[in-house]
Amino acid sequence: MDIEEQYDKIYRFCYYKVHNRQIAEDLTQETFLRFLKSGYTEQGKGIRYLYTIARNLCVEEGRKQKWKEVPEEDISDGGAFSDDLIEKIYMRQALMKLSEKDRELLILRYVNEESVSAICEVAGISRFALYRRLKCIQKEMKELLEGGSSDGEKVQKSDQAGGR
Amino acid sequence: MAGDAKQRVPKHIVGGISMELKVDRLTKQYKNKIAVDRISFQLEKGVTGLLGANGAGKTTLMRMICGILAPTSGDITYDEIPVSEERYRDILGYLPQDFGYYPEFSGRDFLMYFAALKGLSKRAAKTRTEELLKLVGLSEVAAKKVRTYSGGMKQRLGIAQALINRPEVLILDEPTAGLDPKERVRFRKLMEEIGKNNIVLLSTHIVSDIEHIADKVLLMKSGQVIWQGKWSESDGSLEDFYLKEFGEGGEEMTKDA
Amino acid sequence: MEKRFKNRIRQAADDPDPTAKDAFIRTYRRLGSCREMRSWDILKSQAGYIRKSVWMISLFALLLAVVELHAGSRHMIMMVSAWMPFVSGIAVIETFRSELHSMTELESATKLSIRGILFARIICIGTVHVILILLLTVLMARSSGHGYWMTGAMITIPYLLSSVVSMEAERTAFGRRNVFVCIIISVFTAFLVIMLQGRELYFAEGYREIWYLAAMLLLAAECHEVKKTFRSVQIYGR
Repeated sequence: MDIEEQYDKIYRFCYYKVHNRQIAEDLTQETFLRFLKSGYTEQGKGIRYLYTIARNLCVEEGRKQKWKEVPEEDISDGGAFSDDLIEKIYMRQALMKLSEKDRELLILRYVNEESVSAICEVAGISRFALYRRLKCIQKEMKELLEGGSSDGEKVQKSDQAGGR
Repeated sequence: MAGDAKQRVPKHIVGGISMELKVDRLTKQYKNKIAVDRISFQLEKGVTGLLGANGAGKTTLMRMICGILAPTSGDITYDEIPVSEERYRDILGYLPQDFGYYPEFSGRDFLMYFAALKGLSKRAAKTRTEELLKLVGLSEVAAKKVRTYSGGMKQRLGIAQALINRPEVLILDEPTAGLDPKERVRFRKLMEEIGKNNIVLLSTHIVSDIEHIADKVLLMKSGQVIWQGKWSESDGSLEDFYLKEFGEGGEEMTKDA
Repeated sequence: MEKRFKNRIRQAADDPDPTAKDAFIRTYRRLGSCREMRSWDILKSQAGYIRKSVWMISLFALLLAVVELHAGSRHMIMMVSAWMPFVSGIAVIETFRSELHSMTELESATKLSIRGILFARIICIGTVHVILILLLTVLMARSSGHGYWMTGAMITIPYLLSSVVSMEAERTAFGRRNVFVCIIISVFTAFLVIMLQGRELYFAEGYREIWYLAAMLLLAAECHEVKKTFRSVQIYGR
């Protein structure tokens, strides 16, 4: 287990659960510290344990935040709206429309590129169920991204108006 | 709320190490000349600019601080660790004034090679290499051979190389050489950022490179440090001071800037 | 899922703060899992950076022996012996490669250090060459008519001779600037071997001890040279 390799993966995993950079970062670091304390050094399986810790921390965080509406971060950064940024917002919106569970599977499989067996263990589902679910998610994402283009433009306009 | 979250990671764990680079009565003597003459100073977190004309002994001093050149006498330690130890090299990043590359290397190969020498596992090296290529803006040309790079690109690659192991002590010898004005601005920003948590020592003969980012300035002349301290706007222009101290030699230097 | 799409999702998340990440990863390393460099990993990674020509030239020596053996050539042992100086010459160039391409300073300041790199290179190349010499000896001893020991000496001596002289030459100021001096030395050594061709008398029973002694002396010189090379790079700088 090498932190250099896993840091961003755990960060992304957390980010798509808490939707806030600062919180995701803190949870990521907490995850690694807990991992270290656990003395879990078995080679190869470390990453699965890391995800489990991270998920628990995110759930805990979610309970704390229950009363407050989690604020979407100010992504405008004061800069001009670039195509990249629009793309980002657009993508995030699509991801938000997935269920929590599906989003987790999507991130684990296609962004962090974890092995199927690792995902099954982390998510606690069977291989068969995972394949079926992933197929559905792919289809759903495709629909969301292709069908939702007008939606995306609306967001961009209203955000811009708010920014001025 | 962000504050709440921040407190969760115990700060004493993150920032508990003192970080102090001590140079004590350092001397390097060659057969017929003294390149570095009984220099003593201490560096803490922050960016330190080492200013001096060519031949003032900057490079010799930096090589000794990197532990790759043995001093004639004197000590250099970092948090009590002598610079000749592997433990020190593990947290060191160094960009020499001039460096080469194996002819078959692409930009990515170059960084992967140094990642291996710095003890990163292959998978960690891959992640870190891509991250750094992005940081210095070489992702697009990463697969191209280093020999096709411009001077500025090669210099940026050298800077990336120095950062691979996330060094606590970063020593850069004339890092802005070959960079165009736009690259210089980016470089200054990067150094300012890195200097927040680390010791950064960079040598230059161009005052404007460090004027606004250096927390501390060392002026070197014929093997000795003739002035050291914090330079703030209220002290006036560093360049004027520099010119006064160095006389004609100084004028020559600012011409480059 | 396509790569482009994966990247789009990846980029949709804000990147973590680089300074905080830096500080945390360093602290983490310090707290526990510090990165130990395992010798085996070092050797493996360094072996990958040794130029193909070093391996090719060794392989060619083996091929040469097999082909000549098959053809039943009388010149077999001479051909292989004359090739051996090139095997060692190229290897010496490889060990001086850092200097040749101005990488010494950069490599010195890494955790492994220039000494570690040189050590890894010499171990990798040395192991392969020892195996090569053993294989060649076993292959050719029967048909060479000189017996195992003499055959071994006949291929080892030119190898060591060019290697020792090359290393000595590489350390001079001239050799450092003109690394291909090694090739000239190899050519010269090969020439010597060819000169001895056909003079079977020199290899007769009575003279064997002299050859064995020469081989032992050269081996001692080789060890000395390797040690000297190490010392010369221990601390960089003139």
